[in-house]
Amino acid sequence: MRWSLIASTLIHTAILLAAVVVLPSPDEYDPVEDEAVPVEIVDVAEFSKRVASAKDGEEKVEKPAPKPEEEKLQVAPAPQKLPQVAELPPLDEVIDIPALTKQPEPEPEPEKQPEPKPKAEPEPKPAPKEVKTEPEKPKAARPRPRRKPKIAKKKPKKKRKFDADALTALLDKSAEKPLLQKKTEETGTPRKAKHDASGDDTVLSATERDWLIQRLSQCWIIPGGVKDAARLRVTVEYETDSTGHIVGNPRNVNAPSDEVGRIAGESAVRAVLDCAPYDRFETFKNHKFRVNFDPKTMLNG
Amino acid sequence: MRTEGRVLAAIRQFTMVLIVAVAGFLAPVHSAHAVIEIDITKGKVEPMPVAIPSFVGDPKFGPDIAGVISNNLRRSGLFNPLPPSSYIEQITSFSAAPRFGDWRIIKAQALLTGQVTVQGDGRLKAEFRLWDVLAQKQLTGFQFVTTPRNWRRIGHLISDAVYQRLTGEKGYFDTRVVYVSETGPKSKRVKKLTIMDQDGFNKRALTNGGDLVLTPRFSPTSQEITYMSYASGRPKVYLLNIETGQRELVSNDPSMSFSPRFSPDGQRVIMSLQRGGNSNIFTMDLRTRSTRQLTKTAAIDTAPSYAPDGRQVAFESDRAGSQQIYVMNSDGTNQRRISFGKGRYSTPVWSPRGDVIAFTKLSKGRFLIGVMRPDGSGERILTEGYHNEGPTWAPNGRVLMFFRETRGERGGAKLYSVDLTGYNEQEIKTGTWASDPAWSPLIQ
Amino acid sequence: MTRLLEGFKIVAIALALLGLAACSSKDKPDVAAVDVENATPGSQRDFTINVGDRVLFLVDQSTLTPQAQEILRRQATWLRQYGQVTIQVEGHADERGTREYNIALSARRAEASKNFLIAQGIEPGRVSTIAFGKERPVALCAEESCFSQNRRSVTVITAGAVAG
Repeated sequence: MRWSLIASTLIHTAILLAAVVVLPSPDEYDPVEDEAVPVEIVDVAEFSKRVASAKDGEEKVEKPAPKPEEEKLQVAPAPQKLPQVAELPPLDEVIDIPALTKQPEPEPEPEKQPEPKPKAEPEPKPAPKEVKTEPEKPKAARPRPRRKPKIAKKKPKKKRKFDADALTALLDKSAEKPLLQKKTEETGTPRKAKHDASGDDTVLSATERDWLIQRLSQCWIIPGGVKDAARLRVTVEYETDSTGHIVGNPRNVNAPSDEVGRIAGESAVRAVLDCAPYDRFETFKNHKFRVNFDPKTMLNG
Repeated sequence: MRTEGRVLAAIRQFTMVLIVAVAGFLAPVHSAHAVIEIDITKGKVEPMPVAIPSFVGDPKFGPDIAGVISNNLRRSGLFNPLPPSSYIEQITSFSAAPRFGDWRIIKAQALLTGQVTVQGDGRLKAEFRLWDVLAQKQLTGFQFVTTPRNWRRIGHLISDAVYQRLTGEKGYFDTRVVYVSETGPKSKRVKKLTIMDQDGFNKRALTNGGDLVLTPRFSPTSQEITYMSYASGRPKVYLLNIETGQRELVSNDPSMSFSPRFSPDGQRVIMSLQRGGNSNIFTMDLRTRSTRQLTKTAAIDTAPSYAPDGRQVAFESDRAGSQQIYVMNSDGTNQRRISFGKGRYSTPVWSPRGDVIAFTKLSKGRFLIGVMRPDGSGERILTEGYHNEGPTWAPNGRVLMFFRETRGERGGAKLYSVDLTGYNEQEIKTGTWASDPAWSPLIQ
Repeated sequence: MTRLLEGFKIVAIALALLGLAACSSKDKPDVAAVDVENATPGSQRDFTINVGDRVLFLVDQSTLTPQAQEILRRQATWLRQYGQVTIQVEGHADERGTREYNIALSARRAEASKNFLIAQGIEPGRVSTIAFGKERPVALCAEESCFSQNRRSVTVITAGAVAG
């Protein structure tokens, strides 16, 4: 009994001594000696006069004080075109980025949300989990048969009947393109009219819909710093060609014209552009898209 | 006969082909009438990847200014400046359009290009363009001219322009912070008023440490600071001109005065005067020198803070038995308590946006920094710990700075900033212990 | 093994008890070990050692405890005896509060002590006050045992004391 007591005391002491010797002492700042500033006490009335006159909007008098000056910057906001860059090619058109930027298939990984601070008072918290498990139920449940597969089936049938070479020439993408574009020009207006007339929505399969939603959700970087999430609501429309690339410019259809509305629209357009080409499913090719971005469930200001 | 047959066959073939063609084209045209419509209700909440290559032109200012911008945007927590080692295109000319594809590959959403040159008269000229990499268009572009000594301010102004263009919020980078630097033993700290750029550079002491100085605040309209000092032997409120270093005693009243702030129009100083054990809130007009008493209680009324429109004042008072936050009209009428949570509330600071009031809360032996709406609702805690105190707002009302003390004889205070959402807390290194930070408005 | 643990426990308890014994109890009056012979009557040391120059306050309080009143009564007696002495009463606060409120609270404490002395017959003109908030702690550990020592008002002789 005694031996163990002695042993424990010795061991304790040894450990304590070791700790004192080995452990570093906590930080203490070495004072950084700043240059002392000579201070002058001014007569109260004189100072008030000076302050008052400065407030009357007079020009800032050049002070001979030996301090670095806060000289006024001349800020000349330039228009979009700066004089010396007149030779810049116009940047109005959207150049189709080659497919080498094609994104790898996105894994359906759980969205990583920043954890809300544990000590936060109960306030509207981001509820990402709820959003994730909430697919487009009403639309997916629609029982209407899809038109696209029928047409696709038609084509192979026709293939068998007619001259293979001629058809190959027709169905060759490069040959098809100019014809399609011509068709676009001819039927542009009526097509638009048809679109405006009714919500003639394509029904996607659940797989297609889920893939598209997941993909766009990953392409969309929500503008940080925007306080009111409702102001980020924007709809973007665009069209794809037969390769799934976007034709022309995606356009906002309802973004408010204020600063935040413009930012919301731009971020949505970037998302749409970044996710191109839309070639994962045949349905997405040669198609019109209308994407409604609305992060209201995500942000809490 | 044979040619006829061949012609007929050709015509038939052609017709069939035509039918196929029409059918083939009708299919996509027909489906193009239909629209794929989907709702996207979630996206990525992450700092926006941006690319900020060195500005072309001057070999020193070019990289340095880009560095200031990169640092500012990264510290805001809203942007992720991509490492230059990942850049594919090297920007060598400000007058050529970027190769957007190269920037898209590295996943930049926006690209900032710039040019800075020392002109013939010795002044610095800088210009920049902010590009949307995916839409391939210019978002904004500006030009600046100044003395070379002000080169950091160019970086801050560009940071503000980029921040505003991409978030819709005004920036806060062209600002300064005044604070109290502390040295020496904890029992007798040597305290000096010190001013620095919000990114920690250009530090300069404004007092020499001979007198104990506390709680400085910026004037919203002029290059002045108000603060409390023991220079006269007991706590008194002073004004200090940042440019000239000249100091003025604000009040000749023999009472002890402390806790001073400027009114939003810069015309008045509001503060506490202590008489007979009671501290009440007074305003003093800086031109006429007349004072006005706003609170008349036997309690401690202190730490006043104007709403940005100057019509109301938040303050702390222990008239109800413990420190709580009150709001009153700027003439002293309609004094009402707004804090009712469990704990004591102190140091109220009204946001420059007017939407919330930040405060220090003491609860169960812990110190917390939080915000609440001016009616007292919506209390939200941003940080908590052994000792956090004294929040101050960046001029855009989105970021706060405060100080945190570590405990014990070898402990001390350091400055931290945190976003209004409670995220992106980070230390502001100042080289010494530091407390009582106050954020300036955007530099005029 | 269990015997070793037993040993550990006993040593730990013993050390803890020793530690506790080292702490001063709250009820102990704030007077240091008396060294009467060396302090000249009417001197600063006489005041500090034999009378007690400071009183302590409870958390967030500026009311005088019975012990504080006792010490202030002794101070008043001494000050009546040495009528040429002028004093400044310093108010202080512990670090577990915010800066400006602590300035005000420490001012209240100084005023409370001053008013008590005046009520004991000391002329107001002899007594000035100053508030230091939490800026001048005397005990620096992060425990209540140190915080309580910092919640104080200290009577400092400004003039008129006998040398020695």
